[in-house]
Amino acid sequence: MTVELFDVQTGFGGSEPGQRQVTAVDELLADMRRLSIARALVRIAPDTLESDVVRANHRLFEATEAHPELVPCPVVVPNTAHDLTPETSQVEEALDRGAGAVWIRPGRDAWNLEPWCCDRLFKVIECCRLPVFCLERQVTVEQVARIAERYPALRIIYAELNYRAHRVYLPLLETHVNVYLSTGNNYTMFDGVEQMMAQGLEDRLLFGTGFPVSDAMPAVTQLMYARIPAVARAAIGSGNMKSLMEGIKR
Amino acid sequence: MSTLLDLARRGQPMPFECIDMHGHLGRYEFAIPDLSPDALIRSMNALGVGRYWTSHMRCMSADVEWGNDEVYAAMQQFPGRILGAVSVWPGNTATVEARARHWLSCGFSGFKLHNCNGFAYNDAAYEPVYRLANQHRMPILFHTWGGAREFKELFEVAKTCPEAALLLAHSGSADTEAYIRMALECPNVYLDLALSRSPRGLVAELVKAVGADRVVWGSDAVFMSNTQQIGKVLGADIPDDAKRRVLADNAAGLLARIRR
Repeated sequence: MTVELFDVQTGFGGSEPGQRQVTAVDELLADMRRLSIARALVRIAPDTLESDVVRANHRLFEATEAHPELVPCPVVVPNTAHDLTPETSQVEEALDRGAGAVWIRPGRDAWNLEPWCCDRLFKVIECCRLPVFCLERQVTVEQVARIAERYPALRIIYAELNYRAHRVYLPLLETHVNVYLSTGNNYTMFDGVEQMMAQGLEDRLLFGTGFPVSDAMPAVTQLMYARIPAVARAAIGSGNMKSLMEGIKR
Repeated sequence: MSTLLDLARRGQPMPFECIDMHGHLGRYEFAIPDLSPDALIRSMNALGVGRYWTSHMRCMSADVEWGNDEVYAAMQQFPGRILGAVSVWPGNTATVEARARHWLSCGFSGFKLHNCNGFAYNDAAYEPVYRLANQHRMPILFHTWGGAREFKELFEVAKTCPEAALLLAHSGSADTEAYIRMALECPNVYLDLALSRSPRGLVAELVKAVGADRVVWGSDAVFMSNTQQIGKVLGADIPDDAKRRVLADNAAGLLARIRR
């Protein structure tokens, strides 16, 4: 039986040192068709050389506009230095463009997670129940826990996980009901999905791949061969992300 | 969509016997939900993996003998499904030879060596391993991470035991060109695919560079997820025939040529 897939950890158009080819949006779409991935929450990726958030968001919106299967995940930044548009404008634009989440990269974009720096941004996001997307290499698990505690109505999607960290992820999910994990690269944990299911956490896992840095298919097989009930597979595959998006107040 | 890709997309087992040539049993530093061989067999059944060629996590310590013992117990519990790879601690040549002979007599079918113990692969204490592997035409799986020193040592080993099959674990982890060069220059070298990250296009790159006959699938379970690691082959931009060779035929050939 096939399962509808909604990839929450993917992208196109980014670059990194030493990589000659940039993955075009058409390549992402072709790979999605090849693997029967129906929808995707997309970012500009890889992000190593992506330093202009305004330009990156513009490119993202431009590319996703023509493809309804691609749901944008733009970067948001606190406007504490008055060099960007206000937080409300950034979030309104994301909502207008059909965003399924917004991406925070505090270290990368030169801000921090102290309330005096980011409270206004998170309150705006929390108010419209727009999920926040973050990567483990950019936001530590301790920081995720603090954000989740401080803003209980905020839903956080945590991605690029480490397969060696289940001793941290399980209590993170059990303690903070507003945190969701992506199964994309680098979550290659033996029986990891099965254990999440056994702990009753299947509604907190979201299918993700890690494309274009990684092949997308390993995440597909990890889900499809997981020894879990069909209803849980469908929830992880796309249902949980759809529920998150249905909760957004546009 | 290719036949194998379609099967994988639907979570169906492969229509031939896959062989996982890079396995581990036992505990490591981080949490692994189920360490039992039964859990492993369940996931193998889901994928269509018939045989699992494995060492123990203790291959990365001086406690290798206890690990070999655990592997032997699993081999007895699941005969023909779990195959053993002997690990040795290079204390001295005599002990290495005695322990290697012992485990081979118990039915182990090759060796797994790891260099996290601080010893070079051309260390003199490993000489019996290479001599026995050559004599019995057995595979030896080497942990590698693309280091220049590793390749230098392994070029030497490859020449020492031309009848043995040298499997370079984690091919493409770094310096992919060096892995390709070594496989092209040494006919007894094979590239193992276990890698937690699955860099886009790596499997196709390796297969196209060295040929599908020289690449073998290993998952590194239970260190990593076998259900996840098989995806890099099934999703690779290579023909189904090449996928079958990587997942099944090459390993079957390596195990069939063993001379007891």
